[in-house]
Amino acid sequence: MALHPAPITLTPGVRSALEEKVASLIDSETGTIGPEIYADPYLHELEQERVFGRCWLLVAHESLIPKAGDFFASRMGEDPVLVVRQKDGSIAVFLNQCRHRGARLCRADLGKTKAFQCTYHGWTYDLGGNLVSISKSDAVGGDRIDKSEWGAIKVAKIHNFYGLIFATWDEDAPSFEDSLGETRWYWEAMFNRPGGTEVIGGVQKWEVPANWKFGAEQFASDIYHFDYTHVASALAMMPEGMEYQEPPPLEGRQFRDRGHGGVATPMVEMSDMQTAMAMGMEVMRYNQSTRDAHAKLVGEQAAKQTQFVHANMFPNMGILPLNQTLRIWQPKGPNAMEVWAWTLVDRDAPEDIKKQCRIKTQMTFASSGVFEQDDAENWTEIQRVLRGTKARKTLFNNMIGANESKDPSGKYPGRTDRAQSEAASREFYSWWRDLMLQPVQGE
Amino acid sequence: MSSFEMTMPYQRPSDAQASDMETTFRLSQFLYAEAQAIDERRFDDWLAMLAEDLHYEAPARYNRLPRERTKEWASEDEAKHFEDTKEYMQLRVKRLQTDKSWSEDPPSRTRHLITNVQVAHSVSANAYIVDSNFSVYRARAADDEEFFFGTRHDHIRENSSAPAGFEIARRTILFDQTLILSANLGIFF
Repeated sequence: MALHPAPITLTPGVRSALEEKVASLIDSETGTIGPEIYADPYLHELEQERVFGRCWLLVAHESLIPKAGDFFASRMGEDPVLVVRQKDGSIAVFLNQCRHRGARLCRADLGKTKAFQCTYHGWTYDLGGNLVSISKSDAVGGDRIDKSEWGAIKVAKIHNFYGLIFATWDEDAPSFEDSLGETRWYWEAMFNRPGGTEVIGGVQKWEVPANWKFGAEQFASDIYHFDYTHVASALAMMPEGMEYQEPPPLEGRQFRDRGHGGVATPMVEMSDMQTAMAMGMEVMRYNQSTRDAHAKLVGEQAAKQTQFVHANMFPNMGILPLNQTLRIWQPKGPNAMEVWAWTLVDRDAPEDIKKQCRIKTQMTFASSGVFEQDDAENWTEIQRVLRGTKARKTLFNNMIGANESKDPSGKYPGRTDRAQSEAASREFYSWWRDLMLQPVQGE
Repeated sequence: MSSFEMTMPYQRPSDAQASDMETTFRLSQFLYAEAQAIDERRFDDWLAMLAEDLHYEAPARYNRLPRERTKEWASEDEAKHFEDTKEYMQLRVKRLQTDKSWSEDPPSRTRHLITNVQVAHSVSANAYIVDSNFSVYRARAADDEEFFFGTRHDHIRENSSAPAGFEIARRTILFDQTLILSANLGIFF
């Protein structure tokens, strides 16, 4: 189990010292990263307040909680939250903490209930997190407490984006769509699927002793690592008798804005071959069969001309559309993260296709996934080296790519660079830095 | 109604009959030989102990409300840490043997301790139903160590053409962790 240091309470003086530090650690103009951002417990705490306390965060997929009373115990940063389907079909998200002495309201990972009763003194909250009963109220004078004032702490806003449930603690947060900025076209294309999406039931969770930003940054901006990090799996998956050759530079564009990033490539014969290798022939044929219906929703260019490869929605939602893994990089102190991963499928896909997707995704990108393992190894190694003082003071090079801002072909909207670039990584860290420099309400 | 008793995620064949001492001994020895092959990284030997129609799985596990404890394990169509055929196992081994599988460079030094072996025979399943517990110690690099505990439910068949005389047709691995406290499940159980 990774070391999880005791939480630190920041004071205004410490925050302003940290702001100075953050400003000096991220230089997006030249493209350098001061790696203390991955290891410093004070910065981690400020990040909890100013990044996770403010951004729209993925908390669940609605298919995990289809019926009234269904809940999923999620996280927003290090804060535990309950995501609960209400009787009217809406979804509530609130802090998984009793207002009396702060015990966790629900210790189950997921399930179905009528109410949440704290096991300490029995205070009871309804599905919306409202305090409905103070136990032994008559005997303990509970009637003197205004229950409406002591409900579980609710998030400020909730948004359902094609089945993905997002929440934010920030009342002043921009609308979810606005928060996507110029990357919206890409997310719409990935998630607005004919018939909608669902995740394979349950969730896979594992703990990686590395900072969450390594996962987020890589999914946002790094196809560059693939041929080196994953060479063993690529070799092992080569069909019998075929020689492995390093793939040619990837066509397509890397998109970026407001901390988000990802890569979209032209849909060519090769894309279908890649899908066939990663997910099997049946899934490839199924995907082809959905393109007309998908084009009606998102247009020809998005549905028929574009293959989405990898993306990270700032801060911590990762997706590999080709491999159909959707995950949250849950921070766990500066030195560790939990990866919560799902297989994302079309809700209307035939059962055998869903099964095939599940098996292939688990095999490639999951706790035992043959590709996933090598990523975690690299991130863990970086974190290990950062135990050293000299190592933490040594700047990382984040200079790959040209910082182009427009696709010359005009096919890919928004700010884009070549596919193999670190422009989206620079965007990720510069957005992170900007948020870290802006106080949030209630600090 | 709550159930404190664990609901297992597999069906035990109803005709399973406890095996005699000699069969139990032979199957135990087979499991130890298998564990030894893994620990010595003789993965080709290990693959030879797996049936062509292998089903190797490890369902995800959850903390549940008391009245929902029967759903502690991911169901058949839900998330699993492993859900492999023999072909997939061969791929995992092939990956390790490229010498470029960085998560196993340097390789994990594993120690599989296999205990609590119970053997039954089922005519309907045409196999021995073998339950065993494992504790797996994983040491890697200098100061990395992980511990995996759990139980396994195997279907093992006699196969005179297999080098060890048996082959594993089905293995269900039940980890004692819900959150897997490891950067990867890159070793075999």
